[in-house]
Amino acid sequence: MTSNALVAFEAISKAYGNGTRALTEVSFSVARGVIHAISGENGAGKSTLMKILFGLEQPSSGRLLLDGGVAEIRSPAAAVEQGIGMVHQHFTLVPSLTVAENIFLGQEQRSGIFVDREKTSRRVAALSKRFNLAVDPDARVSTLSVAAQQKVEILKALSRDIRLLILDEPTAVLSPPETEELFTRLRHLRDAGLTILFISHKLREVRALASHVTVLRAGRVVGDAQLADLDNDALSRLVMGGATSVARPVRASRSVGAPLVALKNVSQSRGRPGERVSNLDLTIYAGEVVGVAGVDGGGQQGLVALLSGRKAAESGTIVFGGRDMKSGSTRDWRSAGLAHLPADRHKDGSAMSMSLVDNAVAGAHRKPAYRMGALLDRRKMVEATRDMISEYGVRSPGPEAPLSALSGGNAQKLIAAREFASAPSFLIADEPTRGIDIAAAAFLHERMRNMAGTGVGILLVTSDLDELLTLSDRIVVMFGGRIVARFDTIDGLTPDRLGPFMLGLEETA
Amino acid sequence: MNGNRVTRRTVSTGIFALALGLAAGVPVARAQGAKKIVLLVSGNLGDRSFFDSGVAGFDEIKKQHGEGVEIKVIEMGFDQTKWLPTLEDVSEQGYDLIYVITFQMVDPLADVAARYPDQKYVLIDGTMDYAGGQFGNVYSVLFKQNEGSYLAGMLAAGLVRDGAVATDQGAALGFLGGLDIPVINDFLIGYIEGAQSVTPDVKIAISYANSFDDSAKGKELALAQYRSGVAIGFAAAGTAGLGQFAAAKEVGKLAIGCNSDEEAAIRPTDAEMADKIVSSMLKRVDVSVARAFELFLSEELPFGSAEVLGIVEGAIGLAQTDNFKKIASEQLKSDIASAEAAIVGGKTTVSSAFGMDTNALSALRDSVRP
Amino acid sequence: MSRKALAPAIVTIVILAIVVITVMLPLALTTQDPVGVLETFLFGPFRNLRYLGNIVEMATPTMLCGLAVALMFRSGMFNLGVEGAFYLGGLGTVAAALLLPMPWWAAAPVALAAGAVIGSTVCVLPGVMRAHFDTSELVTSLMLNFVALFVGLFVLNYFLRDPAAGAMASYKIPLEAQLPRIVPGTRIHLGTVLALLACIGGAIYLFRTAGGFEARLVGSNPSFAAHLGLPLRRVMVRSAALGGLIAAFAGGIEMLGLYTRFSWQALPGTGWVGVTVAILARDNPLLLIPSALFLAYLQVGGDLVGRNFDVPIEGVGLINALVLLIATAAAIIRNPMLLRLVSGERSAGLTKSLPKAEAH
Repeated sequence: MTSNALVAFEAISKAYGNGTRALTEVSFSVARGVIHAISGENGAGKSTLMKILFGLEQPSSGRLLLDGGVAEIRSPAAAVEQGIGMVHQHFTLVPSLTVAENIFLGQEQRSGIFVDREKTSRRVAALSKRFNLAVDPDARVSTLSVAAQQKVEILKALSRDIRLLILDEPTAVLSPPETEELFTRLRHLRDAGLTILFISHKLREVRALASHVTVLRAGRVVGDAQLADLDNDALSRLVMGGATSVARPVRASRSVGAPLVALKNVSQSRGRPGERVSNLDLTIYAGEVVGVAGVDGGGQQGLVALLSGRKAAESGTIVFGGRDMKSGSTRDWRSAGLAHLPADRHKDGSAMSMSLVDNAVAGAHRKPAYRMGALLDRRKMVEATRDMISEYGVRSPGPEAPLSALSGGNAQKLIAAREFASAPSFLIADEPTRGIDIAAAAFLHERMRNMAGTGVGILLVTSDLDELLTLSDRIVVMFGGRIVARFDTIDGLTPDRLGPFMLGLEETA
Repeated sequence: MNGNRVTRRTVSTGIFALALGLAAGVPVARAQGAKKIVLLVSGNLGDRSFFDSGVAGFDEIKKQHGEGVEIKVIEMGFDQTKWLPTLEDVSEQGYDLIYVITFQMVDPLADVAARYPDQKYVLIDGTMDYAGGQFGNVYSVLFKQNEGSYLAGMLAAGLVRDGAVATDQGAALGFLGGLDIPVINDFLIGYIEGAQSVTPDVKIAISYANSFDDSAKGKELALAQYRSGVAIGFAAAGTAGLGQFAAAKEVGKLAIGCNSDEEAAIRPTDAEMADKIVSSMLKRVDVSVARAFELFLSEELPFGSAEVLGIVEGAIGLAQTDNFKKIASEQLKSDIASAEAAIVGGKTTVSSAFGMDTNALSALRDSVRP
Repeated sequence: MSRKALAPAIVTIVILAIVVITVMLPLALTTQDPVGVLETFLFGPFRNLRYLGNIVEMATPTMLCGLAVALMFRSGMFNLGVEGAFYLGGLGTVAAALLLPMPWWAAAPVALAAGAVIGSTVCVLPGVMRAHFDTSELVTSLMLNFVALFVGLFVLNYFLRDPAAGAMASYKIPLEAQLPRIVPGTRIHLGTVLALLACIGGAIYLFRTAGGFEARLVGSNPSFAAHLGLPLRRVMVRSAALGGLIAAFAGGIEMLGLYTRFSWQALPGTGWVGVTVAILARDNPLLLIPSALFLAYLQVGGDLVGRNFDVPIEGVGLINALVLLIATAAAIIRNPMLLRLVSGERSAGLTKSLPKAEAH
């Protein structure tokens, strides 16, 4: 432990009541006056650690040293007292108040019992000048851009005379030029003596800004080094973990059919960051599995939204089955032959409180097979459900039980049964086996392979690289809403090879 | 439940049988020879007006007859679907006389009275359609509100004439009615004629609240009148009339109440407001209720017809309140007393809105417009 | 299986016991005849045909309002416009009966249809606004109830008011427009039959038609419905329209069945009772029938106590209010999903709907 450490974590562990271990024996220290990055995948424990430092959560064991002395930080107020400020990923500003009012919310400049607005404005102007962060003190926050709001958040933290500033994924909401500007400001602040903790999973940014990085994976410190001592491959290996290449079943060489779905120069700049995409060119042919790799927020969600009719493209062309689908609705896509296994089966893939029958026939309920005059033929619906249950080996208390009675794997099998039953020509499989048991996953892999064999085009989006490499015929990697790499064959491809692309460190496409 | 073997009867059947058994087994206790009367309140008590006055009449009857009478008051609330069932119930419970109040009871009473021809009913402030000899078991009471309003009009005009109100408060009079309907216009016409008997070219601002319970609207209208030069306002608008007093308090002018002694009713909660109520025109539901009972005892109550009660019967009058005594001049008091005597003696006849032609009514209203 | 069948009966008895112990017992003890009060409350409603009739009469509109609520809740619309729709439906029906020249045989059906369409706007507008602008239908429908009331008062005063009536009341509803009474000795009218049919129809709609199935899908998980490509907006508006039509129809049959004139000067509250009925019936149209009858039984019991013992009207109102409260609370206890909603565990954007237990 260096002697000039501002903060030191000593064997910090955090376990929740439900048995989840978020952090295990985390130890490292942060030097004074530097920009120190903390990196790792989603769920690695970065946010939990910062919440502990900022007093939002208490560690289960271990201790925290500030200036070499043991510190117990019980609340954010105590953290501020100790000179720690934090800018959260989701801003905590009041939109209807002005910049100055927001910055001094809770520490209003008073004269007598009244809030002295002029004095407040003057102090904000002074702060803004001192730290070289230009904002209009009297503008309403609701009128500001996201980048400007972030400046206000930073000023708000700085107004408390802090010496350590925590920034949680600050660039998630920013455009590249805005990110560049933010980095310039942060370097100024560092030069002025501030210590900055920069949380990010974007390794390129980590490298651009920080001098030291601590990498967390599954709640443990797996790397802690000066960035100068790490090359890109080493860094991405630390973050991604030791994913090894897997032995893949040999597949019969498959004849790829005609173009099925074609995107040309497609962009969509609106929506949440992960939903924005730019200049996508991608063609999916009948009978092939196209795998999409990328870290969370890389734009895969945007691609899926475009190809399932949840969003319209802003520019470019999308053709599916010979039809222009640039602004096709979900209904259009489905009637043209789309089936879709959504990533979140609870939110999008099913109605948990409704019965297996309802879930199994939903979407197909207007088909003549299920009709009896003006009414639905419940008997036929139940029969069809029984068939699906036996064909997919769904273990259930019966077709009339609520879907919530099923385990994740069985629920996913039923959802797959429903989607596959529509005899699709194009399937989007978005995280098709996330959180389900191995046997069910293997079963679904088998079904999908068979479907591809019968000429169905499949877009496989998955964060499970083993699954990706097992199922795909070719792979594209997305980062920052763009396709950054294309692998037209997966022969010899390993997760290590994909890592730098997924993290935005390299780009070939 | 004799003879019931324990079989697979449903619970509800058992309960039903039990209920019927209990119902049959509960006799109605009752003093020998005492008369039993009931008052149905088609709304809630606490209105400081009609319904409370009806209860006062019952209390008076109880005071007079003690053990000789059993009284009961049932509040039916404002849910009209419950009025008919209640009326049916009491019609089967052996009452000697059933009192109902307000025009709104006419329709349910018409239904029930026809089905229980042996039961006797008293309808206060409303009348049945007696044409064709129907409803021989219902006695109706209407009021000559025009007579009381005549006195109120004299009072208002007299106070202005005598200079009891400062001249800068204006010289016009005000009238706030609940709805533009005959019974309210009956108040208006008496008021106009009374005021004209004092000041022939009197000006009267007339407004209708279109509600009997919106006191906020009543206040707005009254304020508008006061601000346009009305010195004294008369409110015949039920609860909406309370707005008149609130307005009077706000602008420091005088008002005349209606139906019951509103000064006395308001004094305990707001003395300053009560000070502005110079008097109230009385519509004595209590008197009519007690009177009907006395006539019933002496078997003189004219069932199958409607009576219109006025000053003669003591059912209508002007409240002789402290305010009145203090504010009105001796001359005015004696003028009002003699007018009252003239009406009782039949020398003065006050016009009525009932049966009055709409055009004649409009002409009258126009003639006093400020 | 037998336990499942007995459950509703047991719950009913438990509710009754809670009502008696927490409300009726303390109240009874303040009167001179506590046993009589309890007897009247529990058994009074069964004493004669007329009281039984009162139960049915009272359950008729609340059953329909409950159906309106259930159809909308099922599709995820927390639309409380039923109250205003009921009010305006009553007014519209009376207005049509009074103002439209019609042959005698068309009077009731045409008036009811007109009233249903007019009244339904109170539910439809919030539904359309929710579907197209994502405004909270809860807030807009609550507000719109009062708009309906004041529009109604205006129409009553300027177009329907009988100047010869001694109160704010419409002209008399023409005899040929009134619904026929069907059980001698009671006021049970044709509307009751219509209400029962409507509940059965509602069940068929929800569980046996494509439209009802879509409504349940949207209500159960709108995100899923969107994933399937269902027309969410159309489904929402359709549910709001159905709910509004039914609630307004309830107001119409209440008027033509039990009233001689329209004179509501405040919202009658039947729509609110309908919400309770729907909660008690877990939004199952067939269970609405016993739920409405049960609530009406409790209310008639309370009314009889008020009529026969010296309990002030406020006391009776308190009984009825607490009965509704306890019935609702009991329904919440039975439905952990509702509790979860209250505790905000399901706060995801679109899922403002009440989660439902499925019908079996």
